[in-house]
Amino acid sequence: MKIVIVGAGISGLFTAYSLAKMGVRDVVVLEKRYVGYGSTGRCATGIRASFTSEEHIVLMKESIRLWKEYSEGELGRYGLNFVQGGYVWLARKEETVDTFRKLVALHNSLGVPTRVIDRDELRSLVPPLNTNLVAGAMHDPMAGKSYVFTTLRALMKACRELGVRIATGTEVRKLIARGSRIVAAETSKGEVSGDIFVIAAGAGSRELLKTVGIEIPTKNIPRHILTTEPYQRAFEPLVIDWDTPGVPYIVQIIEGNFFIGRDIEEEPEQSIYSQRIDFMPKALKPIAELFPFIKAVRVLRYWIGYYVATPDNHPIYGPVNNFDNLFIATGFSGHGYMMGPVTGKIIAEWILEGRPSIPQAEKLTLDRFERGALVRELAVIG
Amino acid sequence: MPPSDRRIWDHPILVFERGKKVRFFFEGVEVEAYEGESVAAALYAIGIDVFSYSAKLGRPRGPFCMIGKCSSCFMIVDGVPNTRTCVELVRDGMRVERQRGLAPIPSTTPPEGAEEEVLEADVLVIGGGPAGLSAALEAASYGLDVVLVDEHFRLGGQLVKQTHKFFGSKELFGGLRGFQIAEVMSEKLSKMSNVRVLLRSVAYGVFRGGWVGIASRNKLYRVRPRAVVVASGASEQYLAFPGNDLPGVMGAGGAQTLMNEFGVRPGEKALVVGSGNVGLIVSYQLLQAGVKVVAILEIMPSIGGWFVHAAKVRRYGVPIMTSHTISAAWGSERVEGATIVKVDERFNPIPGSERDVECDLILISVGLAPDARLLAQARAVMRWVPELGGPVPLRTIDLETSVPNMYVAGDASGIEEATSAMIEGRIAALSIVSKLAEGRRGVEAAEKAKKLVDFLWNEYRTSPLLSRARRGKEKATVSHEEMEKLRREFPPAASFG
Repeated sequence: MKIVIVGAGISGLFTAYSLAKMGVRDVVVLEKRYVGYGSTGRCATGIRASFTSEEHIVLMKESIRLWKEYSEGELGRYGLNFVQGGYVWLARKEETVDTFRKLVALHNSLGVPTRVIDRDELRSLVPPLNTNLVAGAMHDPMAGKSYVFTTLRALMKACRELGVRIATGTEVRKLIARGSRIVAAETSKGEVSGDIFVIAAGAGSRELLKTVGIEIPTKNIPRHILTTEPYQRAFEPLVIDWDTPGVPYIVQIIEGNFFIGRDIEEEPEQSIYSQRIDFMPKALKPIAELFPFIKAVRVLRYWIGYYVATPDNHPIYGPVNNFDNLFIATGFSGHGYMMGPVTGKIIAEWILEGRPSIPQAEKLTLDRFERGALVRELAVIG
Repeated sequence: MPPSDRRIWDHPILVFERGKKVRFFFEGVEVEAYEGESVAAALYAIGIDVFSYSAKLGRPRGPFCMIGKCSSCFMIVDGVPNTRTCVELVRDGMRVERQRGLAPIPSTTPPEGAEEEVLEADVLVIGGGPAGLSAALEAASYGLDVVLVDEHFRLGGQLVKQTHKFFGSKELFGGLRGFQIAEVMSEKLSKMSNVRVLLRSVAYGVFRGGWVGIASRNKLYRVRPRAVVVASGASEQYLAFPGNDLPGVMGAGGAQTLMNEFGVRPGEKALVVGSGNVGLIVSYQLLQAGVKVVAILEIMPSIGGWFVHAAKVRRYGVPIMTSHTISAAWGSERVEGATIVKVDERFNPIPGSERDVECDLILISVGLAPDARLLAQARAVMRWVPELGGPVPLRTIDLETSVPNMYVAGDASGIEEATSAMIEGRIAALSIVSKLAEGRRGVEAAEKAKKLVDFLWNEYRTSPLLSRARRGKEKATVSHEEMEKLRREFPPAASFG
């Protein structure tokens, strides 16, 4: 059995890894540019389970378990690193602390151990924070981070050792269908045939699936992020400035750089090579209020990556009704990196065992949009 | 504190007029310097070799490029880590400390955030070296409003360390030494009221809508110019060998900055790697500065640079060893010697031919790489041209890239030399003027540009000494029709005008 995966981002590579681990000998990953070129290499590296839908929470808890397990095993020896540094949401307003309390109750009921913390505890978690501006905070100690490039390198190494072929610089231009089966992928370097096809092509998935008449309701929304030079460890958690519009965040990645981002209004599909001059001041100002030292650090780079967003902000997983041998893993709406390990696991199970071991994943197939069975958020906040 | 002082007081052709004394603290100890010196030059002058210990392995590091292009001279200055001390002027009372490992979180922060200002300009010139200065002068002489940005604290780019006399006519500054040309041009520029010069400022990006961001000390500028000339120069190529990060391994240009600009001897006994013109000229300048040159190594079977420069150093008994390269540098906190090795016709080391030489300075002079990053970021169509030192933007004969009204000139367009850089700067500016200036003056500029293009390609570059660069520039130059095609196929991230 030959399995063809389109996209060498986090989802494609973890799927290849899981398949190979489950004994599939013939796996090929086709990548338009280079490993991690798309949304994976552009992400903020954060990992959490503190969501507001059962689907997200159950899947992410398993993903975190896998991140930990992988970092302690073979992938860890190849450099995959997972640091359970937590997430912290800051409230600048008193009433936001009440919102946090409601969220905590929900998370706790679903087994995610978030807590509302006071300023003293906040200071010990995030020492350089100017807590004068903060009314309270919510802490998720289960959350963490993993550096993208060491993770990708570890996956590449492990995949190749298991016999997976990764063809970079190979753009899939269309899928070729015969009846209810996909028979080949037409690439910039010729046709690649296969028995099973997995589309994990991130922002490129929608156009590719159109070539076999499948419409997926995703929008590619540009998200902006910058990094500073690396510094000694200052704090571990990813910190979110919840009460500031655009929800700015800062995380000191494992390598020591500070990644800083903020949502600014953007048209979907806008080029990721069209940076905006107003982004950096907009992102840095609120963060510098909270972390005054940011005024004295140098920004190294600023880039844009796509959130491949679905109407209910949950991924599209699994088989597609009218095809027998086509699987999708896309539309992660900004959470694809953190979901990588669980994505790989459930797609591999779907292919090899006919269904995923986590039943909630079955609620995330493409037909949910036709059936009107969108995922329900248990709490809509802010 | 080492008692040594590496400052040069007697030089056959240069006079170092030192400013008044400045006192600052290095690792808590008061030291002396002279006004106008960079922190890196001042520390090097008093015998400091180790500026930092590397982030992961804690290896000693000293300055390499001396012009703000590398990260070898990072130190903590007044509490701010990762400060490039080679482009930081000494000030009374400043505190300078070695950085050990990853930078600590800055201990002092400006009380206010950076101030912001929107600038108006017809032409933004990025880089104040020979190409940028020429472009700014030419554009300003036609009455256009010009903003000129440079990372360094003084104008002139690499002209300031060029001590040889230039060839050519008076219009090309023939007969003047490089640093004198920089003085003449900067002086002329300072008298023009329609030019605004921003020193110690970085043009950090090209943004949607044709905005360019400029970061200065505690100030952020944004400008939406009608045209841009990128004249950001080049950086020195590196060479991989064990010990290549030891203090005392330096770019040839870095050593030139030390001895020719600041009058500081970069070492006592030098080994020079690479016999191109830079390697040969720097060897001669080392001799002038009183430094012994133990050998010049050349991996190719023949000398790379011009005969006239090779003859000069040979006269002083400096061996030029062809088919040789360096295989290792050794020493604890500074270079103490090097292992050199003979290579076969495929440039592989010949076993058994290794030889140790004693030296405290190893100068890497294996070529330059164009610094065209800003153009690449703006999505100008780039091409890898080995003759030009790396990736360069494709451009028309009048130096416009595939980003409309974004021009390139000088080494950023491909490594050549200073006179062609000045000519390119003028061609770019005149081409801009021909579009922006109305009536007769626009026509006049177009004619002048045409004449300069003709001179550059049909006279100046016909010299056999420039044949390699000429070949490269031919590869990087496309017709206007081809450029239009490229623009359709690869739309730029922004455009100007």
